[in-house]
Amino acid sequence: MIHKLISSRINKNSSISSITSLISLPNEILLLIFESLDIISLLALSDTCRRFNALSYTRLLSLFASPDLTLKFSLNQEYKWQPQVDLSFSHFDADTQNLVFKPKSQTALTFYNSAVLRKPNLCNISLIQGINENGEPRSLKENLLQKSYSLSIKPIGTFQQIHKVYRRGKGTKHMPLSYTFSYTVSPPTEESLSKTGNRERLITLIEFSCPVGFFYPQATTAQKIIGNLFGRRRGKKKVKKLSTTTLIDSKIHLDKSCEQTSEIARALELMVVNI
Amino acid sequence: MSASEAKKITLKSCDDIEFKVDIRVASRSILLKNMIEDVGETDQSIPLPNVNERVLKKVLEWCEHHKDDPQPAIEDSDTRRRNTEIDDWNKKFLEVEQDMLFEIILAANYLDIKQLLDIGCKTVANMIKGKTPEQIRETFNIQNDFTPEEEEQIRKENEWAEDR
Repeated sequence: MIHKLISSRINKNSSISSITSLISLPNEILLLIFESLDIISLLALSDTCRRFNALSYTRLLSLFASPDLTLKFSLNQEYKWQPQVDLSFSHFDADTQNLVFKPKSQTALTFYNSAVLRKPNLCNISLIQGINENGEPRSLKENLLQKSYSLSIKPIGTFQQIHKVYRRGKGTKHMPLSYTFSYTVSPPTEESLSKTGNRERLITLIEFSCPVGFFYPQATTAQKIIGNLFGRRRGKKKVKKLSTTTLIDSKIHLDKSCEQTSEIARALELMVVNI
Repeated sequence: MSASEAKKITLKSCDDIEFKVDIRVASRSILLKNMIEDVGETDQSIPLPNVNERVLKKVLEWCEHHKDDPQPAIEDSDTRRRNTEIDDWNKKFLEVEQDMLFEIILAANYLDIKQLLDIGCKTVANMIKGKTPEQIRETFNIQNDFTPEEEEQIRKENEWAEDR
Protein backbone atom coordinates (compact mmCIF):
# COMPACT_ATOMS: atom_id res chain seq x y z
CA MET A 1 0.00 0.00 0.00
CA ILE A 2 2.72 2.42 1.05
CA HIS A 3 4.72 1.36 -1.98
CA LYS A 4 1.82 2.25 -4.19
CA LEU A 5 1.42 5.61 -2.53
CA ILE A 6 5.08 6.46 -2.99
CA SER A 7 5.19 5.28 -6.55
CA SER A 8 2.05 7.14 -7.53
CA ARG A 9 3.39 10.35 -6.02
CA ILE A 10 6.71 10.08 -7.77
CA ASN A 11 4.91 9.15 -10.93
CA LYS A 12 3.10 12.46 -10.80
CA ASN A 13 6.35 14.30 -10.28
CA SER A 14 8.04 12.61 -13.18
CA SER A 15 5.13 13.39 -15.47
CA ILE A 16 5.60 17.10 -14.77
CA SER A 17 9.16 17.07 -16.10
CA SER A 18 8.38 14.61 -18.85
CA ILE A 19 11.17 15.60 -21.23
CA THR A 20 14.61 14.98 -19.81
CA SER A 21 17.32 17.24 -21.18
CA LEU A 22 20.93 18.02 -20.39
CA ILE A 23 19.90 20.98 -18.23
CA SER A 24 17.54 18.84 -16.16
CA LEU A 25 20.33 16.50 -15.06
CA PRO A 26 21.50 16.93 -11.46
CA ASN A 27 24.88 18.58 -10.86
CA GLU A 28 26.59 15.37 -9.72
CA ILE A 29 25.91 13.75 -13.10
CA LEU A 30 26.85 16.87 -15.06
CA LEU A 31 30.19 16.89 -13.23
CA LEU A 32 30.71 13.25 -14.23
CA ILE A 33 30.09 14.22 -17.86
CA PHE A 34 32.46 17.19 -17.58
CA GLU A 35 35.20 14.84 -16.42
CA SER A 36 35.53 13.38 -19.92
CA LEU A 37 35.86 16.76 -21.63
CA ASP A 38 39.05 18.40 -22.81
CA ILE A 39 39.92 22.00 -22.07
CA ILE A 40 38.61 23.49 -25.34
CA SER A 41 35.24 21.67 -25.14
CA LEU A 42 34.88 22.67 -21.52
CA LEU A 43 35.63 26.30 -22.35
CA ALA A 44 32.92 26.19 -25.01
CA LEU A 45 30.49 24.54 -22.59
CA SER A 46 31.22 27.08 -19.86
CA ASP A 47 30.19 29.75 -22.35
CA THR A 48 26.71 28.36 -23.06
CA CYS A 49 24.85 29.42 -19.91
CA ARG A 50 25.36 30.60 -16.35
CA ARG A 51 24.82 27.24 -14.68
CA PHE A 52 27.37 25.42 -16.84
CA ASN A 53 29.73 28.35 -16.43
CA ALA A 54 29.64 27.99 -12.66
CA LEU A 55 29.72 24.18 -12.72
CA SER A 56 32.64 23.83 -15.09
CA TYR A 57 34.97 26.08 -13.10
CA THR A 58 36.52 23.49 -10.80
CA ARG A 59 37.12 21.06 -13.62
CA LEU A 60 38.58 23.80 -15.82
CA LEU A 61 41.02 24.79 -13.12
CA SER A 62 42.19 21.22 -12.65
CA LEU A 63 42.65 20.92 -16.43
CA PHE A 64 44.70 24.10 -16.51
CA ALA A 65 46.77 22.66 -13.70
CA SER A 66 47.56 19.45 -15.59
CA PRO A 67 51.34 19.10 -15.89
CA ASP A 68 51.46 18.78 -19.69
CA LEU A 69 49.76 22.14 -20.23
CA THR A 70 52.06 24.99 -21.23
CA LEU A 71 51.55 28.65 -21.93
CA LYS A 72 54.30 29.53 -24.39
CA PHE A 73 55.50 33.15 -24.57
CA SER A 74 57.38 34.25 -27.67
CA LEU A 75 59.39 37.43 -27.56
CA ASN A 76 61.53 39.04 -30.18
CA GLN A 77 63.87 41.94 -30.78
CA GLU A 78 64.57 42.97 -34.37
CA TYR A 79 63.68 39.38 -35.45
CA LYS A 80 67.19 38.43 -34.43
CA TRP A 81 66.69 37.49 -30.82
CA GLN A 82 63.57 35.35 -30.48
CA PRO A 83 63.54 33.64 -27.13
CA GLN A 84 60.59 31.66 -25.80
CA VAL A 85 59.47 31.06 -22.25
CA ASP A 86 57.25 28.25 -21.01
CA LEU A 87 54.82 28.99 -18.24
CA SER A 88 52.66 26.61 -16.26
CA PHE A 89 49.58 27.16 -14.15
CA SER A 90 50.44 28.27 -10.65
CA HIS A 91 47.20 29.00 -8.84
CA PHE A 92 43.77 30.57 -9.00
CA ASP A 93 43.48 34.00 -7.44
CA ALA A 94 40.07 34.02 -5.78
CA ASP A 95 40.10 37.80 -5.25
CA THR A 96 40.60 38.75 -8.88
CA GLN A 97 39.11 35.52 -10.32
CA ASN A 98 42.26 35.20 -12.38
CA LEU A 99 44.34 32.24 -13.42
CA VAL A 100 47.97 32.83 -12.51
CA PHE A 101 50.80 31.34 -14.54
CA LYS A 102 54.49 31.30 -13.68
CA PRO A 103 57.58 30.42 -15.71
CA LYS A 104 58.64 26.79 -15.46
CA SER A 105 62.24 27.85 -14.97
CA GLN A 106 63.73 31.19 -14.03
CA THR A 107 65.81 31.75 -17.13
CA ALA A 108 66.91 35.27 -17.95
CA LEU A 109 66.46 36.36 -21.56
CA THR A 110 69.15 38.49 -23.12
CA PHE A 111 68.18 41.66 -25.01
CA TYR A 112 70.02 44.82 -25.94
CA ASN A 113 69.31 48.37 -25.03
CA SER A 114 70.51 50.63 -27.81
CA ALA A 115 69.39 53.73 -29.67
CA VAL A 116 69.48 51.93 -33.00
CA LEU A 117 67.63 48.79 -31.89
CA ARG A 118 63.91 48.56 -31.36
CA LYS A 119 62.65 47.48 -27.96
CA PRO A 120 61.90 43.77 -27.54
CA ASN A 121 58.29 42.67 -28.15
CA LEU A 122 56.01 40.18 -26.56
CA CYS A 123 54.53 38.91 -29.81
CA ASN A 124 52.81 35.59 -29.14
CA ILE A 125 51.20 33.61 -26.33
CA SER A 126 50.04 30.13 -27.27
CA LEU A 127 48.46 27.33 -25.29
CA ILE A 128 50.11 23.94 -25.75
CA GLN A 129 49.18 20.53 -24.42
CA GLY A 130 50.94 17.23 -24.97
CA ILE A 131 52.11 16.25 -28.45
CA ASN A 132 50.24 15.58 -31.69
CA GLU A 133 50.46 12.59 -34.09
CA ASN A 134 53.66 13.97 -35.61
CA GLY A 135 55.36 14.17 -32.26
CA GLU A 136 55.22 17.97 -32.24
CA PRO A 137 53.77 19.99 -29.38
CA ARG A 138 50.00 20.12 -29.81
CA SER A 139 48.81 23.69 -29.95
CA LEU A 140 45.34 24.31 -28.51
CA LYS A 141 45.38 28.05 -29.15
CA GLU A 142 47.72 29.49 -31.78
CA ASN A 143 48.01 33.06 -30.65
CA LEU A 144 46.05 34.50 -27.79
CA LEU A 145 47.32 38.04 -28.31
CA GLN A 146 45.76 40.45 -30.75
CA LYS A 147 48.79 42.68 -31.02
CA SER A 148 52.33 42.68 -29.72
CA TYR A 149 53.57 44.81 -26.86
CA SER A 150 56.98 46.31 -26.43
CA LEU A 151 58.80 45.85 -23.17
CA SER A 152 60.69 48.72 -21.65
CA ILE A 153 64.26 47.70 -20.97
CA LYS A 154 66.26 50.82 -20.33
CA PRO A 155 65.57 51.28 -16.63
CA ILE A 156 66.47 48.47 -14.28
CA GLY A 157 63.58 47.26 -12.16
CA THR A 158 60.33 45.34 -12.02
CA PHE A 159 57.54 46.17 -14.43
CA GLN A 160 53.92 45.25 -14.79
CA GLN A 161 51.86 45.65 -17.92
CA ILE A 162 48.08 45.49 -18.15
CA HIS A 163 46.48 44.98 -21.54
CA LYS A 164 43.18 44.04 -23.06
CA VAL A 165 42.08 41.39 -25.52
CA TYR A 166 38.69 41.12 -27.13
CA ARG A 167 36.81 37.84 -26.99
CA ARG A 168 33.56 36.29 -28.07
CA GLY A 169 31.77 34.89 -25.08
CA LYS A 170 29.10 35.20 -22.41
CA GLY A 171 26.49 36.10 -24.97
CA THR A 172 28.58 38.90 -26.43
CA LYS A 173 30.71 39.13 -29.52
CA HIS A 174 32.98 41.78 -28.11
CA MET A 175 34.08 41.15 -24.58
CA PRO A 176 37.13 43.06 -23.38
CA LEU A 177 39.25 41.10 -20.92
CA SER A 178 42.32 42.40 -19.20
CA TYR A 179 45.42 40.44 -18.41
CA THR A 180 48.63 41.37 -16.67
CA PHE A 181 52.19 40.24 -16.92
CA SER A 182 55.18 41.29 -14.90
CA TYR A 183 58.89 41.01 -15.46
CA THR A 184 62.18 42.25 -14.10
CA VAL A 185 64.94 43.92 -16.05
CA SER A 186 68.39 43.24 -14.67
CA PRO A 187 71.70 44.92 -15.54
CA PRO A 188 74.27 43.12 -17.69
CA THR A 189 76.56 40.57 -16.16
CA GLU A 190 80.10 41.74 -15.43
CA GLU A 191 81.47 39.53 -18.16
CA SER A 192 79.37 41.15 -20.89
CA LEU A 193 79.83 44.59 -19.38
CA SER A 194 83.47 44.45 -20.34
CA LYS A 195 82.62 43.15 -23.84
CA THR A 196 79.60 45.14 -25.01
CA GLY A 197 79.41 47.93 -22.49
CA ASN A 198 76.23 48.79 -20.64
CA ARG A 199 73.95 47.54 -23.42
CA GLU A 200 72.91 44.08 -22.40
CA ARG A 201 69.66 43.65 -20.47
CA LEU A 202 68.40 40.47 -18.86
CA ILE A 203 64.66 40.05 -18.74
CA THR A 204 63.02 37.52 -16.45
CA LEU A 205 59.27 36.93 -16.63
CA ILE A 206 57.70 36.76 -13.20
CA GLU A 207 54.02 36.16 -13.63
CA PHE A 208 51.11 36.20 -16.02
CA SER A 209 47.50 36.38 -14.91
CA CYS A 210 44.26 36.42 -16.86
CA PRO A 211 40.59 35.51 -16.45
CA VAL A 212 39.33 32.19 -17.85
CA GLY A 213 37.64 34.14 -20.67
CA PHE A 214 41.11 34.95 -22.01
CA PHE A 215 40.99 31.50 -23.61
CA TYR A 216 37.65 32.08 -25.32
CA PRO A 217 37.64 32.57 -29.11
CA GLN A 218 38.86 35.92 -30.33
CA ALA A 219 36.58 38.68 -31.43
CA THR A 220 37.25 39.57 -35.05
CA THR A 221 38.59 42.97 -35.99
CA ALA A 222 35.22 43.92 -37.45
CA GLN A 223 33.54 43.09 -34.16
CA LYS A 224 36.15 45.13 -32.36
CA ILE A 225 35.36 48.14 -34.51
CA ILE A 226 31.62 47.66 -33.98
CA GLY A 227 32.28 47.31 -30.27
CA ASN A 228 34.17 50.56 -30.26
CA LEU A 229 31.29 52.20 -32.06
CA PHE A 230 29.00 50.73 -29.43
CA GLY A 231 31.24 52.19 -26.75
CA ARG A 232 31.00 55.57 -28.42
CA ARG A 233 27.25 55.23 -28.59
CA ARG A 234 27.29 54.85 -24.84
CA GLY A 235 28.82 58.31 -24.77
CA LYS A 236 25.84 59.54 -26.72
CA LYS A 237 23.56 58.05 -24.07
CA LYS A 238 25.01 60.53 -21.62
CA VAL A 239 24.06 63.26 -24.03
CA LYS A 240 20.58 61.79 -24.10
CA LYS A 241 20.45 61.93 -20.34
CA LEU A 242 21.34 65.58 -20.59
CA SER A 243 18.50 66.15 -23.00
CA THR A 244 16.04 64.56 -20.57
CA THR A 245 17.16 67.01 -17.91
CA THR A 246 16.65 69.85 -20.35
CA LEU A 247 13.22 68.38 -20.95
CA ILE A 248 12.53 68.54 -17.25
CA ASP A 249 13.79 72.10 -17.32
CA SER A 250 11.42 73.00 -20.09
CA LYS A 251 8.61 71.29 -18.19
CA ILE A 252 9.30 73.48 -15.20
CA HIS A 253 9.31 76.33 -17.67
CA LEU A 254 5.91 75.23 -18.94
CA ASP A 255 4.54 74.91 -15.41
CA LYS A 256 5.74 78.40 -14.73
CA SER A 257 4.07 79.72 -17.83
CA CYS A 258 0.89 77.89 -16.80
CA GLU A 259 1.03 79.70 -13.50
CA GLN A 260 1.52 82.90 -15.39
CA THR A 261 -1.48 82.27 -17.62
CA SER A 262 -3.66 81.41 -14.62
CA GLU A 263 -2.52 84.66 -13.02
CA ILE A 264 -3.46 86.54 -16.16
CA ALA A 265 -6.82 84.77 -16.15
CA ARG A 266 -7.43 85.76 -12.56
CA ALA A 267 -6.48 89.34 -13.36
CA LEU A 268 -8.88 89.29 -16.29
CA GLU A 269 -11.64 87.95 -14.04
CA LEU A 270 -10.98 90.73 -11.54
CA MET A 271 -11.15 93.23 -14.37
CA VAL A 272 -14.48 91.80 -15.50
CA VAL A 273 -15.84 91.96 -11.95
CA ASN A 274 -14.64 95.53 -11.64
CA ILE A 275 -16.40 96.51 -14.83
CA MET B 1 24.47 -23.72 -10.84
CA SER B 2 21.31 -24.32 -12.82
CA ALA B 3 19.21 -23.84 -9.72
CA SER B 4 20.70 -20.44 -8.94
CA GLU B 5 20.39 -19.40 -12.56
CA ALA B 6 16.69 -20.03 -12.42
CA LYS B 7 16.28 -17.70 -9.46
CA LYS B 8 14.30 -14.71 -10.50
CA ILE B 9 13.03 -11.55 -8.94
CA THR B 10 10.31 -9.22 -10.02
CA LEU B 11 10.95 -5.54 -10.59
CA LYS B 12 8.17 -3.04 -10.93
CA SER B 13 8.58 0.17 -12.87
CA CYS B 14 7.00 3.44 -11.75
CA ASP B 15 4.19 2.92 -14.26
CA ASP B 16 3.37 -0.45 -12.63
CA ILE B 17 4.82 -2.75 -15.27
CA GLU B 18 6.43 -5.87 -13.83
CA PHE B 19 9.64 -7.42 -15.11
CA LYS B 20 10.74 -10.91 -14.11
CA VAL B 21 14.53 -11.01 -14.25
CA ASP B 22 17.37 -13.32 -13.43
CA ILE B 23 19.04 -12.41 -10.14
CA ARG B 24 22.36 -12.42 -11.94
CA VAL B 25 21.06 -9.80 -14.39
CA ALA B 26 19.52 -7.66 -11.66
CA SER B 27 22.75 -7.85 -9.66
CA ARG B 28 24.51 -5.63 -12.18
CA SER B 29 22.74 -2.94 -10.22
CA ILE B 30 24.50 -2.50 -6.89
CA LEU B 31 21.29 -1.12 -5.42
CA LEU B 32 19.35 -4.27 -6.34
CA LYS B 33 22.26 -6.55 -5.46
CA ASN B 34 22.42 -5.17 -1.93
CA MET B 35 18.67 -5.26 -1.63
CA ILE B 36 18.53 -8.92 -2.66
CA GLU B 37 21.33 -9.77 -0.24
CA ASP B 38 19.54 -7.99 2.60
CA VAL B 39 16.05 -9.25 1.95
CA GLY B 40 16.93 -12.70 0.66
CA GLU B 41 14.61 -14.52 -1.68
CA THR B 42 11.26 -12.90 -2.04
CA ASP B 43 8.19 -13.30 -4.16
CA GLN B 44 7.21 -9.70 -3.71
CA SER B 45 8.00 -7.33 -6.50
CA ILE B 46 10.59 -4.61 -5.92
CA PRO B 47 9.18 -1.21 -6.83
CA LEU B 48 11.50 1.17 -8.68
CA PRO B 49 9.72 4.51 -8.34
CA ASN B 50 12.32 6.44 -10.32
CA VAL B 51 12.34 4.35 -13.47
CA ASN B 52 9.59 3.95 -16.03
CA GLU B 53 8.91 0.90 -18.18
CA ARG B 54 10.56 2.23 -21.33
CA VAL B 55 13.83 3.02 -19.51
CA LEU B 56 13.83 -0.05 -17.27
CA LYS B 57 13.44 -2.28 -20.31
CA LYS B 58 16.45 -0.65 -21.92
CA VAL B 59 18.55 -0.81 -18.75
CA LEU B 60 17.69 -4.49 -18.25
CA GLU B 61 18.72 -5.14 -21.85
CA TRP B 62 22.12 -3.72 -20.96
CA CYS B 63 22.30 -5.79 -17.77
CA GLU B 64 21.36 -8.94 -19.68
CA HIS B 65 24.17 -8.38 -22.18
CA HIS B 66 26.69 -7.63 -19.44
CA LYS B 67 25.56 -10.20 -16.89
CA ASP B 68 28.76 -12.25 -17.23
CA ASP B 69 31.14 -9.26 -17.03
CA PRO B 70 33.35 -9.22 -13.97
CA GLN B 71 32.12 -6.77 -11.36
CA PRO B 72 34.11 -3.54 -11.65
CA ALA B 73 36.99 -3.28 -9.24
CA ILE B 74 36.81 -0.94 -6.29
CA GLU B 75 36.36 2.68 -7.28
CA ASP B 76 39.30 3.96 -9.26
CA SER B 77 38.26 7.21 -10.79
CA ASP B 78 41.61 7.72 -12.52
CA THR B 79 41.44 4.62 -14.68
CA ARG B 80 37.77 5.27 -15.30
CA ARG B 81 38.55 8.69 -16.68
CA ARG B 82 41.44 7.55 -18.81
CA ASN B 83 39.46 4.76 -20.41
CA THR B 84 37.47 6.80 -22.91
CA GLU B 85 36.79 4.02 -25.41
CA ILE B 86 33.23 2.82 -25.77
CA ASP B 87 32.95 -0.57 -27.48
CA ASP B 88 30.72 -1.08 -30.52
CA TRP B 89 27.90 -2.88 -28.72
CA ASN B 90 27.59 -0.11 -26.13
CA LYS B 91 27.85 2.54 -28.80
CA LYS B 92 24.96 0.97 -30.70
CA PHE B 93 23.04 0.44 -27.49
CA LEU B 94 23.23 4.16 -26.71
CA GLU B 95 22.23 5.33 -30.15
CA VAL B 96 18.92 6.59 -28.84
CA GLU B 97 16.99 9.82 -28.58
CA GLN B 98 18.55 12.44 -26.32
CA ASP B 99 15.89 12.28 -23.61
CA MET B 100 16.19 8.48 -23.54
CA LEU B 101 19.96 8.75 -23.15
CA PHE B 102 19.58 11.13 -20.20
CA GLU B 103 16.97 8.91 -18.60
CA ILE B 104 19.25 5.90 -18.95
CA ILE B 105 21.98 7.92 -17.21
CA LEU B 106 19.59 8.90 -14.41
CA ALA B 107 18.42 5.31 -14.01
CA ALA B 108 21.99 4.00 -14.00
CA ASN B 109 22.82 6.53 -11.30
CA TYR B 110 19.78 5.58 -9.22
CA LEU B 111 20.26 1.83 -9.65
CA ASP B 112 24.02 2.24 -9.11
CA ILE B 113 25.27 0.63 -12.32
CA LYS B 114 28.68 2.28 -12.60
CA GLN B 115 29.70 1.02 -16.04
CA LEU B 116 26.44 2.05 -17.66
CA LEU B 117 26.63 5.45 -15.95
CA ASP B 118 30.18 5.88 -17.24
CA ILE B 119 29.51 5.05 -20.86
CA GLY B 120 26.36 7.18 -20.74
CA CYS B 121 28.29 10.19 -19.47
CA LYS B 122 31.05 9.59 -22.02
CA THR B 123 28.51 9.44 -24.82
CA VAL B 124 27.13 12.83 -23.77
CA ALA B 125 30.69 14.19 -23.50
CA ASN B 126 31.37 13.00 -27.04
CA MET B 127 28.30 14.91 -28.19
CA ILE B 128 29.76 18.09 -26.67
CA LYS B 129 33.33 17.67 -27.91
CA GLY B 130 34.53 19.86 -30.76
CA LYS B 131 31.44 22.08 -30.77
CA THR B 132 31.20 25.85 -30.43
CA PRO B 133 29.03 27.31 -27.65
CA GLU B 134 26.31 28.08 -30.23
CA GLN B 135 26.36 24.50 -31.52
CA ILE B 136 26.18 23.12 -27.97
CA ARG B 137 23.20 25.34 -27.19
CA GLU B 138 21.50 24.16 -30.35
CA THR B 139 22.23 20.47 -29.75
CA PHE B 140 20.95 20.42 -26.18
CA ASN B 141 18.42 23.24 -26.40
CA ILE B 142 20.18 25.40 -23.83
CA GLN B 143 18.98 28.93 -23.24
CA ASN B 144 21.69 31.57 -23.41
CA ASP B 145 21.07 33.41 -20.15
CA PHE B 146 24.09 35.70 -20.24
CA THR B 147 22.46 39.10 -20.38
CA PRO B 148 23.57 42.32 -22.06
CA GLU B 149 23.67 43.88 -18.59
CA GLU B 150 26.32 41.37 -17.73
CA GLU B 151 28.22 42.34 -20.83
CA GLU B 152 28.00 45.93 -19.68
CA GLN B 153 29.26 44.83 -16.27
CA ILE B 154 32.29 43.12 -17.77
CA ARG B 155 32.96 46.21 -19.84
CA LYS B 156 32.89 48.42 -16.75
CA GLU B 157 35.11 46.08 -14.79
CA ASN B 158 37.68 46.30 -17.53
CA GLU B 159 37.55 50.00 -18.18
CA TRP B 160 40.49 50.66 -15.88
CA ALA B 161 42.68 48.46 -18.02
CA GLU B 162 43.43 50.64 -20.98
CA ASP B 163 45.79 49.62 -23.74
CA ARG B 164 49.06 51.40 -23.53
